Amino acid sequence: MMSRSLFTSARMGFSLLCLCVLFGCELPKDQRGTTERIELESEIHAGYSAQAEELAAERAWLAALGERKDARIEEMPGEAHELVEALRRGEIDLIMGMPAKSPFATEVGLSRPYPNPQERAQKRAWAVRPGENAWLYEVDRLLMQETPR
Amino acid sequence: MTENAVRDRPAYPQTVETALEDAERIEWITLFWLAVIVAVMGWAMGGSQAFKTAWIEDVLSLLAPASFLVARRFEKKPPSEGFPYGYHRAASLAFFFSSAALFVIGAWLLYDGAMSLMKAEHPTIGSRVYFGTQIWSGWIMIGALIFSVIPPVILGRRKLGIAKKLHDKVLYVDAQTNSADWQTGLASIAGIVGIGFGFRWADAAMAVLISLSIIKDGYGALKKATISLLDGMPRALDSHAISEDARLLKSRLESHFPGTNVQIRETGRFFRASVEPEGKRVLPPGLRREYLSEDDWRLIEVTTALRDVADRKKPDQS
Repeated sequence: MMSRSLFTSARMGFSLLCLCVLFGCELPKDQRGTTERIELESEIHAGYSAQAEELAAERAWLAALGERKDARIEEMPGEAHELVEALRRGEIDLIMGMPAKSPFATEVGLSRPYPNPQERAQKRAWAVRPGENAWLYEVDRLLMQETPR
Repeated sequence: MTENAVRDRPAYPQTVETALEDAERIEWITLFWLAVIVAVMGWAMGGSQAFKTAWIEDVLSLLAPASFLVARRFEKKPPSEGFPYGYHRAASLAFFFSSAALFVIGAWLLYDGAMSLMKAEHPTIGSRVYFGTQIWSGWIMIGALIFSVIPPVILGRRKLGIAKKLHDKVLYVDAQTNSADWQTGLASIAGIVGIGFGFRWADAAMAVLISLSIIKDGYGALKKATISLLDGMPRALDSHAISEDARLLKSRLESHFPGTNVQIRETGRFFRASVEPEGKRVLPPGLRREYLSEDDWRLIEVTTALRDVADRKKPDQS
């Protein structure tokens, strides 16, 4: 019951999807090219809350990510809301070991939550810049691995 | 016929009676499938505005079959002292409420979608893990959407035929909404694929598109319901134009009773016609006062009904 021309574009989008599945192109892509930038500059800017008590597991994951992406890791400690702002501006690529339930959750792209080694009730997650879906996929894949200890 | 005489209520022909039973059964089936779809889509829900809008549309499409079934309950009740005409228009009332809901929620979704388009939000969709395999949630949402359009489209096609047989507006609008559900699904898929390709606006644009279609459906249905609640001339099922049957009835009655004014309205599925002398459409004051002593201006019509060939005198002869 909607206008025809708009539906034509929707149908074109659908055909594009079919083509995509046929030729195996990789979805999702980033909206603002975080993954590409990391591959180009070989550097990952990783923020973490200076108040976080223990980030051993997160650091091990981060090292694995650096290895996979063949990139140098630059750690950037900071205040939670400053980190979120920096992430939204694209100055850092991720925040590791955030509480999974926080007031910032809607302002960032949040990874799958994982159990906190100290307090199992309070889950943690990593955050990426909103819309960086390829990068989020990469981070999620990293966090699927057994916690390296 | 004898049974009808005993009940002294309008009866449906056998074919209509059967169609009504079919309609009730198919609306129950619709409710079942929509509940399954709403649950599946709720489970697959991720960070897409278009998906959320399509999901809310599916929740809203529960309203029409539910109101059809509730109205059927009422329609079957016999007339009472409080409701001497029976409950023929229960469906119109239910229809009015469900279309008003459609319209209002559609407007809210349009606002929501337009805001996220203007704020240039970047929709984020993560991934899920099943049996140790990582799957992008967008694929799961697309799968849920493809599933979600199949039952409504099949049911909608079937309901369209029944609605025509019954001259039932609620059923007709419901059938139309269901058969057009694939468009919503497609738009929503386009939004998610757009996110997949890294176009942030595609999702919000598709959400706006879907909300516009909800508003359009709501507005059309609201107009139909209002016309029938305001005693409008019966309308065609598929448009707001005056129904051919009603037009024909009017011209036949007018030729049978020359010099009269024929008014036709619709109560539920039934037509009611009144034939009044031209130029004398209200009860004269003398007659009024005979029946109503106080505030007699409130009485404008006393109808004696046509029940036999012999009753067919011109109204001004009586």
